[in-house]
Amino acid sequence: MNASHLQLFVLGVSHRTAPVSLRDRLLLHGDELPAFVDNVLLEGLAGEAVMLSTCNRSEIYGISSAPAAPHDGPDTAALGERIARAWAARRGVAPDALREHGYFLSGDEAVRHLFRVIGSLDSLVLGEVQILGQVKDAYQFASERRWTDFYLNRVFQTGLHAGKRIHAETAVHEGAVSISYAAVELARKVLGDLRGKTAGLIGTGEMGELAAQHLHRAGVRTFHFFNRSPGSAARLAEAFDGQSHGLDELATRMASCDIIISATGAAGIVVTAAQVREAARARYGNPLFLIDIAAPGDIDPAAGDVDNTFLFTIDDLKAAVEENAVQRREAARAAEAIVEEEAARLAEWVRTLDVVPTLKTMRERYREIAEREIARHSAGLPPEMRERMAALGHGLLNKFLHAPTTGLKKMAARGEAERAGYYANELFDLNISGLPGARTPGAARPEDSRPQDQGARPAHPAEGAGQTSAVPPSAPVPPSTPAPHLQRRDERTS
Amino acid sequence: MAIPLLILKLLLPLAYVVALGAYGRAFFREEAGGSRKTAITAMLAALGLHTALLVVLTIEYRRCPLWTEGEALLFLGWMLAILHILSEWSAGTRRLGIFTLLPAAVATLPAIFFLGNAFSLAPEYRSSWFIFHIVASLASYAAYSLAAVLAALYLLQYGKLKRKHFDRTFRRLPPLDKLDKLTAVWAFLGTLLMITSSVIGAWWVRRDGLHGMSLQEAGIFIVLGVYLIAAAARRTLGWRGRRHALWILGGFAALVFANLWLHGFFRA
Repeated sequence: MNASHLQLFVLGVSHRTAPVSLRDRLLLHGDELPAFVDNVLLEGLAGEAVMLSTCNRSEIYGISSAPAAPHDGPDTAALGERIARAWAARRGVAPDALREHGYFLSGDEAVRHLFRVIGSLDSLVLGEVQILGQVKDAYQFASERRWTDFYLNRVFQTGLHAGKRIHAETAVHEGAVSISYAAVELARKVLGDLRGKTAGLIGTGEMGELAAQHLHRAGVRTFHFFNRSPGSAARLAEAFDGQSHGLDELATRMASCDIIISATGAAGIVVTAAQVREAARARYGNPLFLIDIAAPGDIDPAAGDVDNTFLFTIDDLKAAVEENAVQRREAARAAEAIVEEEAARLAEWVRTLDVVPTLKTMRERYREIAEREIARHSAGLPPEMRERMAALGHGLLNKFLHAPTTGLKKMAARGEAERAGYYANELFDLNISGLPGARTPGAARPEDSRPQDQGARPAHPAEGAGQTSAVPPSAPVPPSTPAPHLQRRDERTS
Repeated sequence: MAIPLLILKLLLPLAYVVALGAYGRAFFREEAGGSRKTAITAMLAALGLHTALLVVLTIEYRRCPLWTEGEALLFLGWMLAILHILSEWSAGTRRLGIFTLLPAAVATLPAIFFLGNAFSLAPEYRSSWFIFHIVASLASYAAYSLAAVLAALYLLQYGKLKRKHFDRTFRRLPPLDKLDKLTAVWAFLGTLLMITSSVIGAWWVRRDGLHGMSLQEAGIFIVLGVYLIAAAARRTLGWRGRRHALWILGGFAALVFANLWLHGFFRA
């Protein structure tokens, strides 16, 4: 496969494009996923592949060879269509449903999409942190099964690097965006690490239980449950390894709690300001964190005025969540800039692939020369001397070829692969055709047909090569090379 | 030494300004990654230049540069920069660099202009005990300054929580509990250093047969009393949180008053 014609594509559905029912139906379970990807690779629909499957999206990323001309084979979109049909058939979904609610992107668009997904800019909850790990797992899964090779490895590694940068350099993931998590986050802002803290929950309804679960997840291990009916409190106390009490014990036990969450269905005040003041006094200045998620409120609002006591209602939590969402959207702009930067860097690397065959030929040719000379001059020498001469020869070879190698790569990264190939061929006498820039004797140099010289439209490297090469550089290529996991690794471009 | 001295005097304020700018950007802007690295690099450069300036001054003056207002401020700024690094690396307060490095810059920038010419010390000040006394004293000032900054940040975060003002500053500041504990730790360290300084000073006065107590020294003992009360009340009466932060800020105000208004810095 000519590396310069490789391109990334993605086919998938997500929360943005498909209803949850369709996403669920397209989700590949258990062994279905590897079987499907194996099939895609074996049928040559993609050269490499990674399948990302989460509750909000199912996507297959693949590498295809974009044909340089229509007769070279089906284009990437046609391959995508075939993959979509195979996927829909496997899950018993009408192909039209996938066509209608799915998306297919290729080239730079696919790269940007992947990087945005990894950076959680395309997530249901902007900035959620799980997606980075999910993509990493999907990539690792594919890599272990040798579904990926040099191209997709580079794409995903660059994408994961972009994701890490977004996490480290922007605030897109900062601030809770759900009410229950906002309560835990606010508690952390007051009390610091919640491990070892004590929580008191007033009311044993669904809200109280949910709050207890969040606190338990945050590290709280000591719970007191207060309720009018001791039975419900005892049930929760058992579930969370805590203690159950009647409401009459609240006043005496409140001082031992760092966090109080009240969520009863009572019509009036359950926790008075006087009780809170007394508890605050008994806590010797240690902060007391109060959350009132009942409607109407359970805790006297005057309790919030007590020193070192912090009272938040459901409305406060909603306000915090909204503020955080706004901040995340602002931070997303910086994250988008990182996506663009990393995508541009990847595109630069893709352009350098054009000179890889030239570099391989150059290195092989000069290695042969070096080995021939080493053999000639070391004949009859003791083995130790022969080894030293071989080391010297290879060391010199590497040093001599370092500058031209990096120079050619730089030229290719600038989009001058054709000129790089031409110069390499001429200067190093590579005598190769079919490489970008290779020319037959008497053919024009690439500069002769450069647009700035002729005032012509900018030519695609493939067009220029076609004019000057004995064998067009964009020789017909199959729709896609055989799956890399079926090839020997040393046959692949590296 | 004149040219290196001039170069250091020019570069040092610049390094502090760059470090503060980068710390400020890292705190107040969303995309903070690059700024944090710049800030740490600039801060280390500033500390290196600061150390070099103190060394050059020691060689130039043939004594420790501790005796004029400018020299004492320069040394105080250096101590503050050291404590800033300790705080950043030990307590994980990297986001607070704009606040914890600020006192170092505030002390250092005017110090550059107040640095005078070389002069000989009066014989009674040549004692190494006196040098230890001054160094411990300036180190305690630095610890108290850091405690005051953290106490002010505690009150800022406390106010934001009480007013339910969940802005960017609120999100960037550490939890109240952490600020409270760090304030107490630095205030306690300052108190230990101040006691050490007082003991060494008293030893030096007795040993060299010097007399009396200056108004500033009396003021410093009152300051020491304020901090000792804060430490004792925290331990026994549970003075934490807002009250503790206010007390620490009060102690720092008394310290500034004792030094600026009652006496001024030591002179030869």
